[in-house]
Amino acid sequence: MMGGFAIALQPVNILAALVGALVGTATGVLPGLGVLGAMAVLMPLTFYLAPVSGLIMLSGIYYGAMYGGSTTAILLKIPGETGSVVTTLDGYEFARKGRAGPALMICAVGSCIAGTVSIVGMSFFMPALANLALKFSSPEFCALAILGIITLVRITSPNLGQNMLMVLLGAGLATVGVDAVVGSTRFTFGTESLALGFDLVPIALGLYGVSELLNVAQSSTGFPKAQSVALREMIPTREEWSRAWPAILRGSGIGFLMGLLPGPGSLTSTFASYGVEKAIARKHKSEFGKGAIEGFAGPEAANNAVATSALIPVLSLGIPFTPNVALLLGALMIQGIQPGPLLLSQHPDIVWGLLASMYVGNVALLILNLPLVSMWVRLLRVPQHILIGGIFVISIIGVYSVRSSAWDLIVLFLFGIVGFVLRRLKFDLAPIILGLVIGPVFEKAFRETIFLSRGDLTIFFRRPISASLLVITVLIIVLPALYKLYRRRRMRGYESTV
Amino acid sequence: MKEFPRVTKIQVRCASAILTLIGVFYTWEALQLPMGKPIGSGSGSTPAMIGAAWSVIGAYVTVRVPEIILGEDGEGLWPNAEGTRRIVMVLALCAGFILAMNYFGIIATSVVFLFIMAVAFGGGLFQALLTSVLLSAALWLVFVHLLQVRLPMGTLVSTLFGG
Repeated sequence: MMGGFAIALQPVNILAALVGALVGTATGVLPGLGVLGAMAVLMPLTFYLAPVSGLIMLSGIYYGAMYGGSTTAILLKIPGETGSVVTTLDGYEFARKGRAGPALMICAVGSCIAGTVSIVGMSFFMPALANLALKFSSPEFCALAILGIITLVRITSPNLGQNMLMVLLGAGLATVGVDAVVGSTRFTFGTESLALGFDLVPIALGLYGVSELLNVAQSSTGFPKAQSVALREMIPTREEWSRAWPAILRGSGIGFLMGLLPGPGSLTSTFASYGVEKAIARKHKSEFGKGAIEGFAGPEAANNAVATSALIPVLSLGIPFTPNVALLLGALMIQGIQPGPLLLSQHPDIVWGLLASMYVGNVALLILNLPLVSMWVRLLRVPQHILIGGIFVISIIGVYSVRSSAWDLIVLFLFGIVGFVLRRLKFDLAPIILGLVIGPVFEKAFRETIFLSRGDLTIFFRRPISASLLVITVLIIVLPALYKLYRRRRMRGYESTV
Repeated sequence: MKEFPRVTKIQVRCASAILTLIGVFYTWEALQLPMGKPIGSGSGSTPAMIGAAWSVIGAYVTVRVPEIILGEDGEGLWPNAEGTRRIVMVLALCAGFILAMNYFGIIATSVVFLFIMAVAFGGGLFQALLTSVLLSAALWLVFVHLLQVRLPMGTLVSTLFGG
């Protein structure tokens, strides 16, 4: 870890963390773009840095965008991302009582504490999980990829079929171009453009960034206006602190543990934290939903803790369980680094440098963002006609700069339109990103398994870890259906008794 | 609600059907690729599996369309006529940007693009001109000078200035 600090405290990496946190917050503050949109817009910038600096900057963007999302949740009741949905319940109500400043301060301090708790936990968990992951071979990775996909598909939205279709669309797109295993081309129809394949950046930016800009462009209302917050009004009272910190600690623990599990931990951990706070509240129970401090301090901490601990599976196993982390994984791969069990032994500088930089980033976020809160509010007041064009140009230059390919720009706008239409039709877009990232991982592992076993598929069930992972996958599919059936029968029994 | 037409089940069904057809075509193409020895190790095996699942699930989603509940950010609603016009205009401007970029260079194209966008979205002429020039200059500084990104300077600019 000390080596990690030596890397993180290099001036270029401190600067990368600070710039990442700042631009991430600036982008996250813009309603609608969200963490994924912010990361997608700014990801190409990180490719011009050394891998470790680029990753540190991207993590800073990730944190910053999350903080920016909380700011809009509190000031405008617009969640910047799914994890901030719960914050809108009590955070916005608390701000409406004239306490917007303290709410932002509590969230910033809580995020910093939660991030630090999670990083400490991560420092202990990472080596242990990396050692466990060394026991993983192709069948286990294949089973883990299936588990990751099924979990996300099951949890993100109630429509299992639509989500699965979106994952398969993403996985299908990933197969276009050069086959990484044998080097031949697929689905190119003799064109050079398709031989390049579909890059993650234009697709993610198109689906999330451009589609959101089109959404803002078509609306006549534009970006909403926020109330102003002065720095001197931001200090919470003693009573507010005494109510906030236990919730922050509980939220940090909940978030850290949920980040280790497959699935969108951000959303589930915030709801779990909110549920816990509401359940254990005695004196202030009636305040929930009307501006209870515990109602946003705990979930915000959980959201930040989960953001860090969700990196453990991706760094040690190479399997992302959320779209945000999938983008981080994609950025690593573009930098030529393959996450997985060997990452810690082959690139310890990257892993420990990243962990240490998270400490730095968390503190930087706290130091920078509190004095700058009035600037973020002012950013929301920049006229729409300047913002829209500016973000479009940054997106175009960002995508073009990755491969200097006009084809990528066509893909960017094509997927912008596709994303816009699919969102209107109520299709979830996150599974496409996940399919695009996990698809190649699954394919490589599956084909290696077939080679290893000489075509014998029972290998998946003969190996204990892969068999267990597949059993868990089946349970994730079957159990909710069985529970639904059980409830329906119980209801029928109850109705007939009545 | 008259202004913003609601998304209908038939429209969702059509979208699902289109996705399914793409899936069927993808499967057919995948089946033309080698499956490998042992079967499953070739470059067509995983796409064939993905395609088969895509087609089956696509057909299921086409048949079973859930109730459309209005969501945040206009989900479940189409843009109105004014909104559609703005989207078409933005997309046309973006297409123009991509086409013009190679001839006029990214900086000159950005200035024009930002100016038209700003005016189209209600900005004053002077303010639009000022912000488009300043923003383009800032982008040029960040991307070309700071990050050393190779952006197209434009064939026309190169010819005129001998670069």
